[in-house]
Amino acid sequence: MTGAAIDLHGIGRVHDDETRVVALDGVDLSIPVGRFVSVIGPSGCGKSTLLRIVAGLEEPDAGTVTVCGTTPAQAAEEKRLGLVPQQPALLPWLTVLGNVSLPAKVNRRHNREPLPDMRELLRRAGLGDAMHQRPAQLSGGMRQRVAIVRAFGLQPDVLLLDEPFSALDEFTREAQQQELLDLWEERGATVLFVTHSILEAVRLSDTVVVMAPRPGRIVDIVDIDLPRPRTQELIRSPEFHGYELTLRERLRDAFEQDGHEVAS
Amino acid sequence: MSRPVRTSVAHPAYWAPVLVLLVVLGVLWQLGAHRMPYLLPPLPDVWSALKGDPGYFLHNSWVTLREALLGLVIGFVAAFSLAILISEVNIARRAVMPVAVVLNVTPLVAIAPALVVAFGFGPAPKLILTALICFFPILINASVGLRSVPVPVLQVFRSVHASRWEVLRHLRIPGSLEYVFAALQIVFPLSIVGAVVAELSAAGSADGLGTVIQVASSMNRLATVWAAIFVLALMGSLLLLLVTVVERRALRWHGSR
Repeated sequence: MTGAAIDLHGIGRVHDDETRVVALDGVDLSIPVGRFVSVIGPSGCGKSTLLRIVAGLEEPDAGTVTVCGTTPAQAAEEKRLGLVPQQPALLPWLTVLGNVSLPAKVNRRHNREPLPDMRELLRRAGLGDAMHQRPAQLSGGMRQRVAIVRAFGLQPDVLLLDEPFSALDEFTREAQQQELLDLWEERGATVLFVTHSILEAVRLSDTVVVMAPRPGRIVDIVDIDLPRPRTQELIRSPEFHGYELTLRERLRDAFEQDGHEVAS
Repeated sequence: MSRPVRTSVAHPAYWAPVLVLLVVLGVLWQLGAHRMPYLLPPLPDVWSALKGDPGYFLHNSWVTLREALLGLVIGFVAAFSLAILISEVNIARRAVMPVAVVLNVTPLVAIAPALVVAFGFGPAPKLILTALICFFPILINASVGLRSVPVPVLQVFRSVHASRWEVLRHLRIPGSLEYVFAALQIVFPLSIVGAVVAELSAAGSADGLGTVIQVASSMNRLATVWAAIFVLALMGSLLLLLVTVVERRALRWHGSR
């Protein structure tokens, strides 16, 4: 494998609907293996479209995508991708254990042996007691954690998360971020994390990609040189705030270039 | 979890209202029966018609029940298979749906005599009519159910390259159960309607409760007619109870939502 887990070159994408909005225009991005990369930007900047293109759920109209040295479709077929959508997307009739075990039952030929012990993984994620419950019996935060465990259970090379914590309250979100970091540090994977929270992006990432809308494009790439683990102390440090301010400014610039819709 | 407190079935507040209504209806019935003997038979007569020859009613009930259930199974298999086809293949959907809708607005009981002419007095026209009547509600509900899987779930499974069959087996079919049971609630009682109407239209049939009604009414034996009707009502209620119980067990996950 080359040094890049995800490689995007000149990606363009126009929405198929009657709006013909240019969702992405000339997007270049290279993500090295094992990096945690967040994509941040206002709504309509094409960040979710970008994620869907990497996941092979959408075809770009221009440019090339390489994931794990191959096409997204091939990477999906080889089960190298783990996807965590905005909603947990669990099956209500299956237990937590049934839900996280299901991906191993489809496309079995490409299961990455040995399969992890899902019970152990659930216990590790604090879901040991909930294992035999159904999604409806869980809180929103727990459901999202189940979706994350399901993705990690595939032992993916690339993990794609689309605003997974956006529906959660502040406290739950912080706990979920920690859980995600713990799993990631233990299991490893290249992560592409879409978010609209600056704090979340700085806390989680090695690199933050700033995007702007109309047309959707990358306006800046900021490396977050902060040590891990990212403790509460670190989050309160001036360095952390410095990064938050930098990102806030870059996002504001993106808005001002766009028109005059400066966030009030 | 914030379900309202349910009244226990054993509590008078649960069964008393319906019992009172039944008593009132029974009294009204008896009054009517005494004034106009050709309108309604007295209830004791109905009871003695039943008690006089329980074997006769049991046999004919069994015949009708068998026709109803067998027709329902045939209709179910046909409708569910077609629902899978049209939920997977768009061309098939465009071809089938208009025809199915026309079939639905056609009063199917009206084709019963034609079926009898074509297939005779045997079980065939009864099974065909029952299957046809059950067909549409199952087709519609199943095809809606099969397409009810949320997009994010489908995306997760596409991202692991799940095959069409795997999506069908793990997501679409289990996801459609809720809708299929709703259809069964409608279709179980309808299956009896289908069987009885076909029997009524086939004046030469040997047995079945519809035939019992046909024969008895031609001889002005109102008590027997009503005995058969009560048996049909009981049969329908028991079938509905059966579906409800099975549904509760199969969709237990659903109740906890």
